[in-house]
Amino acid sequence: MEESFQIPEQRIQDALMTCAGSDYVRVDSQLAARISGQREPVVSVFPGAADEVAAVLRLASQNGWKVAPVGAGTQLGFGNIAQPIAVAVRTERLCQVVDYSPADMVVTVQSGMRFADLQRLLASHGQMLGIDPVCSPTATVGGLVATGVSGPARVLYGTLRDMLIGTRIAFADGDLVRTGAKVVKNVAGYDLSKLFVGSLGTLGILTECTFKLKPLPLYRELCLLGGSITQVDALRKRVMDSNLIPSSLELLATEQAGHAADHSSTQWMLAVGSDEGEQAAAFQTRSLQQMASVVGASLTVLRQEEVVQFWERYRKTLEPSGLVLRIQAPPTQLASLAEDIAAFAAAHEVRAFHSFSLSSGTGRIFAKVTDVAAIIDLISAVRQRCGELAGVSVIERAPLEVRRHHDCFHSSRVGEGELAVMRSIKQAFDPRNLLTPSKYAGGI
Amino acid sequence: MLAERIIAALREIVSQKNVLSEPNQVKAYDCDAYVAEKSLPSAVVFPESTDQVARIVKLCNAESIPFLPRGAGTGLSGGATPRNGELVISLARMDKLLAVDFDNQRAVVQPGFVNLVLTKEIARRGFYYAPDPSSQSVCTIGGNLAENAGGSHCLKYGVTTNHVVAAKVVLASGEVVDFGNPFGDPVGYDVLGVIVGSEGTLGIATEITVKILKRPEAVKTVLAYFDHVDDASRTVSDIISSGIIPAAVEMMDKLVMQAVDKSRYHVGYPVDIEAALLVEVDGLSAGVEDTARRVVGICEKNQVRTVRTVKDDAERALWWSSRKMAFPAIGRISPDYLVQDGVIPRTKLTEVLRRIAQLSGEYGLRVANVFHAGDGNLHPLICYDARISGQREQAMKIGERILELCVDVGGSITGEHGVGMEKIEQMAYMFSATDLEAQRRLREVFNPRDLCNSGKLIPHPARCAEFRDTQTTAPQNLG
Ligand SMILES: Cc1cc2nc3c(=O)[nH]c(=O)nc-3n(C[C@H](O)[C@H](O)[C@H](O)COP(=O)(O)OP(=O)(O)OC[C@H]3O[C@@H](n4cnc5c(N)ncnc54)[C@H](O)[C@@H]3O)c2cc1C
Ligand SMILES: Cc1cc2nc3c(=O)[nH]c(=O)nc-3n(C[C@H](O)[C@H](O)[C@H](O)COP(=O)(O)OP(=O)(O)OC[C@H]3O[C@@H](n4cnc5c(N)ncnc54)[C@H](O)[C@@H]3O)c2cc1C
Repeated sequence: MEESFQIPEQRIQDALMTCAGSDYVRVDSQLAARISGQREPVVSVFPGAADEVAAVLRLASQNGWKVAPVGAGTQLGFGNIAQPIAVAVRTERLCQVVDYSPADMVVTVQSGMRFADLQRLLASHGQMLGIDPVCSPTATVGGLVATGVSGPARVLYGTLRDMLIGTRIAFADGDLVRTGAKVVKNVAGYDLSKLFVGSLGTLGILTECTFKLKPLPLYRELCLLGGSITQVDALRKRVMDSNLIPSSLELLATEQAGHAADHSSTQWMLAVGSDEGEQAAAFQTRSLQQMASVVGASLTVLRQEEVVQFWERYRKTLEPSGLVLRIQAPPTQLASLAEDIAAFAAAHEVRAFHSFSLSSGTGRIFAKVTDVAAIIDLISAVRQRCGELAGVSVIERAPLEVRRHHDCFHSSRVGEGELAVMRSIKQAFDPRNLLTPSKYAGGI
Repeated sequence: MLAERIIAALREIVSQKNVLSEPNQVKAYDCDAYVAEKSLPSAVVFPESTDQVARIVKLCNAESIPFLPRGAGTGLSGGATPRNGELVISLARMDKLLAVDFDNQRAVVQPGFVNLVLTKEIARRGFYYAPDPSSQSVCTIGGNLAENAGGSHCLKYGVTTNHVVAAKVVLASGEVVDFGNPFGDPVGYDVLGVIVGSEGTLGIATEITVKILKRPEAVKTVLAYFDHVDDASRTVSDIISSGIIPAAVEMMDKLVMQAVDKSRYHVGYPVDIEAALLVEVDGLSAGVEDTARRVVGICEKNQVRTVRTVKDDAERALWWSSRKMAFPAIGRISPDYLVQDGVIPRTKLTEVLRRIAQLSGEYGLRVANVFHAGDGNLHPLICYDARISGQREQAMKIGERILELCVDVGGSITGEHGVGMEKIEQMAYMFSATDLEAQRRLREVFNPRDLCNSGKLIPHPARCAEFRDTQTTAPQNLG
């Protein structure tokens, strides 16, 4: 039996110093609890280069130590509870820009770079990575990719899966491998990069990520349409059936955005953005005004800096949530699903916030966790309802007690056949099962 | 050739009429649109359902028969060429549109369904299918999935992988598995993401769910003529860096313009210009006018000779036909040609085009250029005459040099046509042995016996002697 946690930390620490230097290895007892709820401390190592990451993994695989990659550590509550971990590979020193050619709109950065720093750099060249997830300002690029995050902008810009065009990865056996390329279009070989988006650090450690970029919109406008769930869903249908080009089509429970709604009775809100330039935005707003008056919804228009502030407030409000549950179902069913979930939440006295990117068929429920038992029941109710719609629900963040009770990955679509393929992929790239074992879908 | 017993078993599965086994019948399947290398299949079968595909694949496994899937055979890298005398499983008769859900913007098709037919079928509700390879009037969505096909408009709308959301796949073992999610993100590893672009080496897609999009309200197309290629290249960079996201930016050089003007799609390009740029912007009417004007302004800043905006739909259709028919039109100026598909960082366009011109001079073969300039995806068309001994080899040699050049400037050997058998050697130029080993591990997960389209996409490890004889085309199979 491989019980890595029985190996004295001291020995692991000494050995790792040969890979990363004595200043960059330390025993950490707090992190351990957050990674897997274990009592045994982990040894944190802070490699300063990709080949140091590879050297750590080589050593780990020789010794059978279980390893978890850790970015800023803001999202360790995503995934099932891992087996006890011996070594945490901390990416925070891997924070350099490797390559940035603004004219090519492609950037390569090391995985420990903070997402906020990356966006700031890109913005100074009028560009951006087209994602806007709720995340801590310290979240790393590698962590974002490994958790496969997204936000309201996905309805126009897509997700990280569409943007990640190349990687450098250290595999469990210490092989350093490049996937993809640094050009926007490439089909040479298998598109291995895709496997790492949302892989939760179970398949390899990302050391570099290459993304394609978008121009920062020169002008932003956002229409907030308020009404009953039926009115809002009618608007969703009209917008999806039109030629409009929304940069968000987000169904929100109004309180959550911290926006003082004009009508206190308004329960639901649809946030429809435009990034298409001033003329197009004006046209979109006029069209939405017409739609709103037909269905009897209210409308508020935000422009430029107000839009930026609206979404900043939204992210700040939601960031401390202890529960994040992702839901996936056809767009036509999301509104009624959201309404049902709101009713379940009320019944369980959970104050839940809804944020559904309607045209993409995804949504998230955010909640503060005060009563663990209520959260567990709420998730059961949501899952049952999702199951009826052949939908999906994934727990992206929850306290350990909740994750002890519920598998984080619930899908009525993923069958045994697909899981078997996933397990074989894990086996092929991490045959000794060293990288955060048991954290992932299907027991991977 | 397959044993009579096996032919009988195949007939049992798909009926008499859906099996071809006579040499004269299967001859048409000895290559795809990459015609430089040919090899006869052992037989060709035409299944009509997922279940039939699965039974055929199981039979192949039981009898250790190599096999490969085939769509319309328009592939340009030899992906569907039976280099090991494979049994060709043609998806041509699985060509139905299974479902369209306009409200949720998804369609489900069989793999043999033709790309452009989907757009035609959903046009009445103002929808279209975005990936638009120039071959779209004949190529299949199954073939598109396997090649991760692109097209002129993928600059703005993305390539096939950005539009395929789920697929039913018959694995190399014959097991049938559903991958992906029609809505939202993958749950677990994004396996569908590696199946797309796997060139038929990981399994056979038999049902494909794709996104369908609303047609943009307005489209403006601009055609610009340049005296110098360099000015055209600079215009491309300037458009992109100005923050405009054009739907398409295509470039043609002198030789291509000459060729297409000889075809049915005569635009009347001036004979003394070096390059033509076709730029398209789309979106809401309210903004498009203005964007098109900005594009014209950028052309003017870069010494354009003439630039104009399209006057009507008929003219727009002509301009696009002229562009999309460029490959076949080369047949009018050269008996044979070879298409390359390298990608470079956009900023290296001028430099790389100059090097290609030098290589053309060095080898004494004409090279025509027509390409997706907006994303740096080159399509050098190397003209040669197969009847002149040695020319084909020379053409292949220039092709290799161009691909190496693309890798040297930080690019890729293929942007949309795939590696197939054609570029398999260049994989080792682009990737290290360790990188390739990782890809091989993935292939072994799906295709452990290497019966499914062997010898494509990634080179077999040279050290592995048992693979060696499947690497080279069996002499008796040379067409
Ligand atoms: C309250 C809250 C709400 C959130 N809401 C949303 C939301 O609405 N939408 C959304 O999409 N996301 C949401 N997130 C998720 C969050 O934005 C990201 O998941 C997080 O920022 C990841 O960054 P990190 O550096 O902290 O990663 P960490 O927490 O350090 O790591 C996260 C995971 O990634 C792995 N990992 C980290 N680095 C690497 C690497 N280099 N290679 C391989 N694996 C690696 C780890 O092993 C771990 O499994 C929320 C987070 C918080 C705090
Ligand atoms: C004139 C011309 C212009 C072209 N322009 C473009 C262009 O602009 N952009 C572009 O990307 N390509 C272009 N191509 C290349 C080609 O059309 C595409 O690669 C297309 O996707 C191939 O589709 P097909 O149905 O012909 O597939 P085939 O050529 O029959 O097969 C291609 C590959 O896919 C595999 N395959 C086929 N069906 C399946 C299936 N159901 N499941 C799994 N694997 C399968 C085959 O084994 C083979 O490896 C062009 C080709 C020509 C001749």
